[in-house]
Amino acid sequence: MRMTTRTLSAMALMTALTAFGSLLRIPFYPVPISLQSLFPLLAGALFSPRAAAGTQAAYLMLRLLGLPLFSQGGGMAYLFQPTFGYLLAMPLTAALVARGVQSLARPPAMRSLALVMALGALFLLVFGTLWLYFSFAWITGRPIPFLKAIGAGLLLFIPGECVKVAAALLVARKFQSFLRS
Amino acid sequence: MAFLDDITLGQYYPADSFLHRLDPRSKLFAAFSLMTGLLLTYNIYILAGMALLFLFAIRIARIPYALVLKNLRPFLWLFALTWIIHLVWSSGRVLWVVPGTSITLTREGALLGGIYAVRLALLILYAALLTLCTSPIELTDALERVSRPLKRLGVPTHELSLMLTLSLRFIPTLLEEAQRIRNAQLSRGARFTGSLRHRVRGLLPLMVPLFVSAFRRADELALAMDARCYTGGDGRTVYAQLRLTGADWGVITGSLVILAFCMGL
Repeated sequence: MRMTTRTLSAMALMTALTAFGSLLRIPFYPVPISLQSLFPLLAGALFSPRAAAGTQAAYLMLRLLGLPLFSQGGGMAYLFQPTFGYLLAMPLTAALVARGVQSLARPPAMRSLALVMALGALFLLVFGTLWLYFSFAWITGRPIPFLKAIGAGLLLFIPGECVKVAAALLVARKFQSFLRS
Repeated sequence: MAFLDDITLGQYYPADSFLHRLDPRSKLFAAFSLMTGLLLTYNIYILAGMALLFLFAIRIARIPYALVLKNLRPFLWLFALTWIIHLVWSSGRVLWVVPGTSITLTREGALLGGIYAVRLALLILYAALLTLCTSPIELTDALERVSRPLKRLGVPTHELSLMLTLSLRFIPTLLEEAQRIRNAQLSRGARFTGSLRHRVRGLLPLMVPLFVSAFRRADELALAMDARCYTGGDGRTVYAQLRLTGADWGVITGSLVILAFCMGL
């Protein structure tokens, strides 16, 4: 695959935006909503599947390489956090969303875009939760009840995820003219 | 929504030491083979040996112990949980029965939980050591070199590593920009507080200008790259040449020996 310099630099900026997004938090009771998982959705809406996945994969690498931003959760040690799955799901989610957006009419109708993003967000949560379940079982050597993992890893985040899909939609709508450029 | 609060200097601890001077590729290789070794073993003596080796490594890397141990803090709950789960749910010689319940704490449980917790701690520490003594740029460089064979399979490794470097460079710029946009919007009466609805809506006047300016920067960057005849990774030479020295081969061999040991026991 040959990349034009324009795609390359746009991807680099999208990666930087993702890194910036992981610092954003909406203070909210009981857990603050981190906006990190908003960005795979946006990358999916703005780039082709491969490029979208590339931006998120680059973010993942930055995180593992010890990006000079985070006091916690940076560096290779993050591989061993049970929540690493949510991060690992980001490139996949971006690719999925981008694939979905490709199959939509141009410019996409708000309702179908919302559906694609919601499915993407759901995929991210499911992947993250499965990872949580298996990595926890592996780390501790003893599995936790599966339903508990779903409760803690999935259901708890659904309201926050809905908020993020809404926010991603709002931003993506403003960018409809920009889509696929 | 304050985003300039929780920024620290990152993982890398600059110093002049044997470990810092090693070729990033051999550090990457050593870290991964030691981590694989740890994943394969439950032997107490090996774990103890690995712990000693680790202490020796941070000694020669001249990294303060406190800084290294700080990496374990986000995992503390996990260690505690691991240990407690084993303590409560193992069978073996009973140490203590919690009065009024059927919960029994066993000696085997305490031991096994301890092994699991120590192993996890060592994995984390070795991973952390790699990012502590190697700068992100060096690691990107090493990754590009190591993943070069993937290029045959059509993976744009050079482009990906250039992207990493570029985004590293743009993150501070974006942060500054975001702060400026936020202030500008505040001065126009934007509200970033209030109900959840308000807060989500408050993202728009921040994110949209930020995206616009980021993609404008991307365009300028692309133009600048084109103007300088950037044509991708083929035939491109690098300023910082990576070269494996005798010390690097020593480290690589040493880590392979340890890995073989872990696999054998």
